[in-house]
Amino acid sequence: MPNWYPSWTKCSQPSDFRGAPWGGVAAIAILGALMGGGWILLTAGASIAPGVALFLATLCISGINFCNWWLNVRLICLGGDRSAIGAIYHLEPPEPTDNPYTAFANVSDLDTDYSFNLLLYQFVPKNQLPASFVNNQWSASAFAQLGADWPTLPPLVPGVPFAEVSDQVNQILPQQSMASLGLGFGGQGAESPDNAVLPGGSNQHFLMHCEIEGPGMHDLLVLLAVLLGVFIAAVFVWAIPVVGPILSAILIILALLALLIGAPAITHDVASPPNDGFGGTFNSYDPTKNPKDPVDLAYVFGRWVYDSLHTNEESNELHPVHYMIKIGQTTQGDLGAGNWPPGFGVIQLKYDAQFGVINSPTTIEIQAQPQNRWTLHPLLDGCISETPYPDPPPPGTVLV
Amino acid sequence: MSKLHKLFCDICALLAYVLRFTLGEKKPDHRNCVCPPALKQPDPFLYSQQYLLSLGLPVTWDNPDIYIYQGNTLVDPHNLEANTDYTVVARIWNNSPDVPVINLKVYFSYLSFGMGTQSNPIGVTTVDLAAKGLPGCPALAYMKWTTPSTLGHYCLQVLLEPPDDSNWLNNLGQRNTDVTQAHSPALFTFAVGNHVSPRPRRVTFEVDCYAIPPLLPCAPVIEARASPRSISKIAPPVPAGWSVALIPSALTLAPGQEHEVKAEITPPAGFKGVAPFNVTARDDIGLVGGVTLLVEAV
Repeated sequence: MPNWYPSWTKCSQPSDFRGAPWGGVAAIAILGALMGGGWILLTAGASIAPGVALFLATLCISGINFCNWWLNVRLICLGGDRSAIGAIYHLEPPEPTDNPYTAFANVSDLDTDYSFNLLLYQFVPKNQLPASFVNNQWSASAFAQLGADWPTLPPLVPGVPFAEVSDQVNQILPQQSMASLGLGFGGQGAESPDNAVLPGGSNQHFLMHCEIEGPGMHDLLVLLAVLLGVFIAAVFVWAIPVVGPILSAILIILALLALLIGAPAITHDVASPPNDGFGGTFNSYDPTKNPKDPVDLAYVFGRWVYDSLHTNEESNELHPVHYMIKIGQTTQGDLGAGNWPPGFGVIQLKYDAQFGVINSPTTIEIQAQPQNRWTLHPLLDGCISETPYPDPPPPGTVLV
Repeated sequence: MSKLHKLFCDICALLAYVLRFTLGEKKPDHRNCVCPPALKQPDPFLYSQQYLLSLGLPVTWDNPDIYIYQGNTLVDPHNLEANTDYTVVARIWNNSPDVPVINLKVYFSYLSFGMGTQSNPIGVTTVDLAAKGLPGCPALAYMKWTTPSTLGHYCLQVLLEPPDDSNWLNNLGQRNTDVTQAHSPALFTFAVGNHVSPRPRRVTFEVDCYAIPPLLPCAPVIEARASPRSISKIAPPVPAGWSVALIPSALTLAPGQEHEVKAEITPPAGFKGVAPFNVTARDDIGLVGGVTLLVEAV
């Protein structure tokens, strides 16, 4: 699609989903250790380099296997792309490091996605799902029951009809399409002091988790592919008479150096909030800030998925964010009190309709037509098509 | 093959990035963001004299994006009656191919005919503006306006206030025109005010005869596979045979002061038709304002 934010992930259908390949990763690594160690033993320690290279090559295969799972399987498709509208809430920027050990010790440092939560329109941060729903959330009847209970739930939820919010609430709830997988669902929690569990409430707040993708894990996959090639080469190079063992050792050392340099570099290859509209930073809600400080209101459009790797915070997400636009600003104080800007309700539907047209393949053709190629003003650097720009119709023909 | 090619490209890109990183070239902030190639900001605008002048382009103050209706009849702003209901219409464009604006705020106001005079609000409305080239672009904003009880010429201003904008400078448009029959000379008066500067303002005037040229048909553009047209930065000067006298030709305005300026425009003998004269006022900081004076002879 034109001008969508870059993405490196795919989502898997619930039927194709499989859990993290920890067993496979460990098995390959152990196999590699046995093969490498066996080689060294067989040669009575006379040829260490090929054994080490063999072991490191299998580690690379393990890593590639994990990266492939991370990029292509981990996220479960929930049904195409969706939009959400609300206020920028908690921010989770990537954490670059210059320390190679830290980069590998904490794999999440290599995940360079920029994450944030979106407080859904009409909710306040302390609103939370009732325990009666959360305890039964994978049940097929849970959503209908939540709707039936809704009028009795305030102050856990705002005093708005369920019909007004049901679509956006449904987007953050467990979906029946993946109920049989037996996965957890912790939902998204609020920040202190809004995280206090109210009577009859839960830790799950009305927040949509969103991730702007960074290339970190894809970079790691590519780096491991390169290193795999180098380690395999080191095994074969060893067989060259005279210089082979030295070349083999040099290749291994160079590959390890590349890993030591490359891993920190990858953690710096981060995503960030869009420059356009947001200036590269978000004004997010934070109860500790001045009540008059601004909070950005945003329309976010992205792939609707479930992230299976967010232990204890498994939730539905918009991941990757395809695009997002700033639609206004409010204040910390107003948002905390639930004073959303008036007339905000229909905006999401209107944007959905407009972006439906914009993302249509024919739109690019229309916008490429000569009468639409102006850059300053249609009357200054445009041209007249078969249907010239008419004067506005009289006010009697339109609703004033 | 394409997968191998992609892997090769990915490897080269990664190695280049790691090499640059190792040499101390950190990824610049603008490369961290997801903007390129994504552009997710709208650019609502209308014909904005201030913006076009800032680009060094000639302008007319007879704004092609601001209309006035009396009932269902299009009228000229120089011909308004006192204490009468009109509808001001703003035609609003979007230069963004991928971001619409929902609930775009459009502010309407009027001023005494002239430059730098006091603005009086008419009202505010909202419109939905589609992306460039799509149905809903341009959007039309309608605003009812009852003219003041004092008869006079008025300038109209339209200001757009979107929640976000890639270019905030092209959101203000003005329609400041007056028409007079070509007696010898044609006489106009307009006010020049200083309501923005806390210090005296030394104002000088420039006069030209620019009008927006007619658009060319698109068909030849398609055949030539060319851009529609380039814009000239040169405004046509006052033609030979015409004389324009501004009285005074320059003035100094104290803060809050307004001063009347007379324009005497003498056509050549036998002139028929309509000739536009754009009078643009500047001080040592920049633009003060402008008017378009139309001299008409039948």
